Amino acid sequence: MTKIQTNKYNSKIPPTWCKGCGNFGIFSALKQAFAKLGFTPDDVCLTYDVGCSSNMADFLATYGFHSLHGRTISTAIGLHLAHHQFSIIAIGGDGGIYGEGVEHLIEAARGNFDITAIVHNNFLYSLTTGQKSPTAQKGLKSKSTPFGVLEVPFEALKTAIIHDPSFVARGYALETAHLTDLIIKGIKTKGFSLIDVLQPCITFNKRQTPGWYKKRLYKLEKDGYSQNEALKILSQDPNKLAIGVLYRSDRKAYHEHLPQLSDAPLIKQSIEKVGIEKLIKEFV
Amino acid sequence: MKKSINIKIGGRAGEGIKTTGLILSKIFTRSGFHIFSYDEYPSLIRGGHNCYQIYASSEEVFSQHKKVDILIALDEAGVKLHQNELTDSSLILYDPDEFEIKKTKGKPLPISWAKIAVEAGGSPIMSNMVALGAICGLTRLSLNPIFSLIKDIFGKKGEKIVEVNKKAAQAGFDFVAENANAGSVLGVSQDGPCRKTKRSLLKKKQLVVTGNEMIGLGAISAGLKYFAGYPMTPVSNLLHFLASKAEDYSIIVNHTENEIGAINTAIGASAAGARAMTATSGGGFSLMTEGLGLAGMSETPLVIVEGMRPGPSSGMPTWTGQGDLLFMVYASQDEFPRIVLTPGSINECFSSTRKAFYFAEKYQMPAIILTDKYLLESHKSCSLAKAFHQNKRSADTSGVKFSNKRYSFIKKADNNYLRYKITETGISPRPFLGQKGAACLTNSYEHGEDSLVTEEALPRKKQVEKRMRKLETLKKELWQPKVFGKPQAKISLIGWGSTLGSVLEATKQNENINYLHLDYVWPFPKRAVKNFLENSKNPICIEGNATGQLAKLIAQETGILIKEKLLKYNGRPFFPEEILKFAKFA
Repeated sequence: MTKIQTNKYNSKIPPTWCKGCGNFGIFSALKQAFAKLGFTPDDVCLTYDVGCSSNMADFLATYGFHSLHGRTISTAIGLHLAHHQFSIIAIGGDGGIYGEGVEHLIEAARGNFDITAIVHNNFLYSLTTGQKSPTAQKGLKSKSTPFGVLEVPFEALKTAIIHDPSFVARGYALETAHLTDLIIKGIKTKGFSLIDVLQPCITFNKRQTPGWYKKRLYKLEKDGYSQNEALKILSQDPNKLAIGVLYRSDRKAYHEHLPQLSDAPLIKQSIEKVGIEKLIKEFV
Repeated sequence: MKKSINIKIGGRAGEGIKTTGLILSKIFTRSGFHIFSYDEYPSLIRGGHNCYQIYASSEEVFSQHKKVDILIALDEAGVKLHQNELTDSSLILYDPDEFEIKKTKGKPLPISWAKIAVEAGGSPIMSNMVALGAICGLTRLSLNPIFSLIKDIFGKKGEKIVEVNKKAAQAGFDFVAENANAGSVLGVSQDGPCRKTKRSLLKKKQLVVTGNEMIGLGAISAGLKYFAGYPMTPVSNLLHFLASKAEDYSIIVNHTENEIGAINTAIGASAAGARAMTATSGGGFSLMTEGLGLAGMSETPLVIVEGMRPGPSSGMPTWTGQGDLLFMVYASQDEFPRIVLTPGSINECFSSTRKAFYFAEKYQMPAIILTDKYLLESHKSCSLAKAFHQNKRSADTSGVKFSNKRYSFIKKADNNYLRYKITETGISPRPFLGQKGAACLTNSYEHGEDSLVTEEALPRKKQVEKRMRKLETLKKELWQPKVFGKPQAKISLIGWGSTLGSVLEATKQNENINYLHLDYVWPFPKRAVKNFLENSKNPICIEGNATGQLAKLIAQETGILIKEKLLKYNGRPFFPEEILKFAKFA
């Protein structure tokens, strides 16, 4: 396989992730996707959350917005609505996107905004040194839950699917070619694309190691399933983790409903002359 | 000779008091009068007691007044509740088929408006129209303005509805002519208080607008492209107004999942290059506080409207106050520059909004428009020429030009473009999203000139200084706040925001009061405030909060301690009468 040149997307700061971190895989898959789509660094904007995943903000030389914890999707929606023809990708971890800012994930799915959200799901809060996250299994003993997590894990993919967004998929950080393909599909799909990426955290997650994943992962064959089928896939034996495209919908994207955007993106519309004379008349 | 009248409509929520009140306001403006209308309502959909009062005059009026000349009592509760506002010559209109009035100040005038409405071919819901017709009769106004308003409002519902409403109004008018010797009842001459008015006023069209509407008009005319909001009294009407105009003006109006979504999507849209705004009240602003800091650190322009109401916490949602001054000046962690504008009138609501967009974009910082329920929801009449244009008659004398030129963007990216370049002004020009050759990171973390994260001591220090330097540059463009009244007066009041209106009304009756009106509180206008206070014989700080927040800010910024304060924190605005009373004993 020919190696595609992706150096042009790198900033001058080399990644600071732990050696063996799943983030390297996601980083590589993203750049492969950009290259295959023919993007220059000026052609894509990534928003970032707070966490190990989002330190990527400093490693990429594309347009970017390193936003607040939990707010990566919200920032992405704003950028997108201002320039709906531009590719916007929201990066974050399971802590930010499924916890701190879960309301924005739900809004994104409900609204079907044309952005792609990539969740670096390592089932922990790693940058803050190893506490439980919304996807941690019940009973997990962590720094903040020494007696074991009491809640059941948050079902992010199911939550997204039942609100009928355009594209829901799951990938794995160490299956980079497969993940590259999912990312390209997500970007190309009009509407909200959610890609949950399972990743090992070699420093803090001693249970879900690459070996652990290897035993459980299998690839889905179809390019998307019905809602019922997808929910079934996600509800099966917890030792069977499906990766691939889980769900597709042809529901209209949010911006396609807006006549304001029928001619040009918002930021390309001139504001030089705005007449309010006819508005004033209604107050007489 | 100045002629004025104060009319109050009181009733239960759901009885159309606001609508009726607005119609009455416009009856007066279309008859050539100036008005100021003030409403009070509880946080309920049905029941409780609402009221709307209109102060109409042949000269410009700036606030409500306490003593009521005519009370339209749609419910029995109102008669008791408003006793303190009535005099012996006040008229109380009521429907004797609804309730009896046993004891009251003033003169009860029974009008069976429900019956009259039915007799005129309508239904009891047209009682309000009968009452309005009666008011026209009592005040000797022509019926033409109410007829034209009925046509404007009900025209869409068909000719039949228009006719029936006109008949109802006529019937109320006729009733008064036949049954009440209005002149003697009101204790004025046969001419009535409103007969003679300036012909010139009749020719010049006046608007009747609220602060929310003027902020909306200001934002639209300033090139607003993205508005995100979440319903919260008293700014909900701004959201509604902008939503209704969104398609016509190609603006995206997004009622977001919550206030955090509102501020963060607004920041995203702004970072892409769209002029963006959000609006909320104190509780919502508390949720937005982290976002405020994000705008400050990432140097993303953002206009935020905060409409105060009494707190703390949920407080009194439908009432007014000035308790968030210091909150606005200091909100969010650490330090970054911002501008806080505090409009005092509906004209200033428009001009402050124009200014907010200018300053936010040019200096890449948050611009807060701080106002309150009183200014956002009261109706006032104003002339078109004064409010919207910058000419000799303009209400705005700041020198800040209303133009929709774009500020602080790069034209073309050179090699090695630096998003947070250290400059003399502190402003680092930015690209539009997608601009070729300018890909950069907008960063909530501390960063170097190249926008990438830094934890180094010197780059950090330089960025802090660069950001703060923007405020120093901005200060050069600020105007001097205005002193109303004689330069030397026996009593000098200093205040901010919506207090202006009540003070102006008070000064009409007492020439010995002057007032320094702060239409912005940050950056703090030190020189003007110091000058004013040092030349004041008897300075008094007047504001709507319990701890004298402006007085604290003045002490901090000028070293001057103001001992006398007139503070109000019961959810009501200042009334000119209480300012005059305080001045008498000061």
